[in-house]
Amino acid sequence: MFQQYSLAHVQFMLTGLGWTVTLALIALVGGSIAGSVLTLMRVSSNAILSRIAQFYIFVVQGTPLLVTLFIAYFGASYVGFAVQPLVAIAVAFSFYAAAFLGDIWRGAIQSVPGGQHEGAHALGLSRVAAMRYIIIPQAIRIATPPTVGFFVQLIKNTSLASVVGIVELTRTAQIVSNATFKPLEVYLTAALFYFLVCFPITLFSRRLEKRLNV
Amino acid sequence: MLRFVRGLVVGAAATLLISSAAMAQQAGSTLDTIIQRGKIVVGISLSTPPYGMTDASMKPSGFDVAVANLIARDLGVQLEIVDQVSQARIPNLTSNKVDIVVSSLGITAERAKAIMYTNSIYVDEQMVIAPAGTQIASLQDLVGKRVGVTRSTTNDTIITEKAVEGTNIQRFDDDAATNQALFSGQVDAIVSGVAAANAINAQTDQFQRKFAVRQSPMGIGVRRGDFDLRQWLNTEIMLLWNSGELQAAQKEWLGVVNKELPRF
Repeated sequence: MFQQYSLAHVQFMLTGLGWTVTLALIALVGGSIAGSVLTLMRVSSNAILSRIAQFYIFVVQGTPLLVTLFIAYFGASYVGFAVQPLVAIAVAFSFYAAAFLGDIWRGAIQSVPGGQHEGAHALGLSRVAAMRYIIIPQAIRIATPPTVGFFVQLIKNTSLASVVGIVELTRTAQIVSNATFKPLEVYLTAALFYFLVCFPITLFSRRLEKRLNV
Repeated sequence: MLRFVRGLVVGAAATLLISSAAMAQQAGSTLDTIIQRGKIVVGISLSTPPYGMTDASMKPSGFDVAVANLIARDLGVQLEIVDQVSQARIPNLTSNKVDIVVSSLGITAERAKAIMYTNSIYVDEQMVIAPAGTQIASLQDLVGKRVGVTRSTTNDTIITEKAVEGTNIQRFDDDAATNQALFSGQVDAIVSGVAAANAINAQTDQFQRKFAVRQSPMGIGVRRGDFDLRQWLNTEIMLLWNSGELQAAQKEWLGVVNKELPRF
């Protein structure tokens, strides 16, 4: 009944890895879009928009992702919405990522020295044009390391998706570990898979930083 | 620590959801829905061998899967298995994500407030397992010892309830982790079911069963108020018992056959 840890198990974990990558992509895209909106609200000169964004960031940053996921999946059912697991994940992860990215990116934009704003103004650039050509290119360089760090963290957080029934990498590892009773070998394999996904991203971030530095 | 927080949060959220379970009751009969849909959606934890697991080709198998297959066969519908972590078993049911839960679900008064149980399909015995050389014969002997148990299981409930003060209970996420803690000496003893004990004995004879803590009957979970479906399932359990198929599944997966099953 209990199996030897074999290639078939590793293949099964690869299907889990496929889900992990899919979830990560959903989270990255959804989080980036929502995060951009939140950033713009946060740096907006409209005090009400800025306050709403600030309040949102406070609430979501102070709530564990697992709870957000629970509310999006189970909670929504109780008030009458039949939510598919993937939809719940897309919503929960986007909301969660937006709160962090919104703050990271706001910080990056505001840390571009004030002289740059004034210079742009002196050259006759409009506020939008100054943002587009002067401020944001410099902010991207500042924002890259923390953004990538957060993305890597987000990828690893997709392991929470097993709560809503998605059999992603950590869940496949759990299943295999329980069928083979070889937790050390199985979880080391899972760790390697996570590393193989996250390491290239870190590497890419280094390159990007160097290129933007020139 | 993260694990602990996660467990705590899931527990809290589950409690919250259980309390609102009454709201989730469907208007129509789930039995009719299943027949019209031509498919039954069954929640099973696939990381709880030998109840729910995967076979060598990574297909769901185990006792719970065997029972779910028999149910789908006799309903004349397709079977869809939804894998679930043990903490999600009751929320999945009460929030209509699954039709029934066949997931080594021990019957407790607390859970019965949130969901309804069918008659029992297996009676497990919870026991304390420890290295062969140690002197452990009663709960009193566990004082000052580290006792491992899988969280959110009836094993956890019973040892938490019965442990003498001074027992150091350590909770793990799944059976593999609990067993590994015993193998590696991180705990002095574990509380586990018969099947898990058999699994340990299949690997090594260093550990032995010390004493039984309690009997734990397991049933199939349905939503509260789903009397139609519960009645059909009870009929099915009786028929499977009479045909000997239930006993065959017990023998094949759990290595034990119950003499009788409690009906209520």
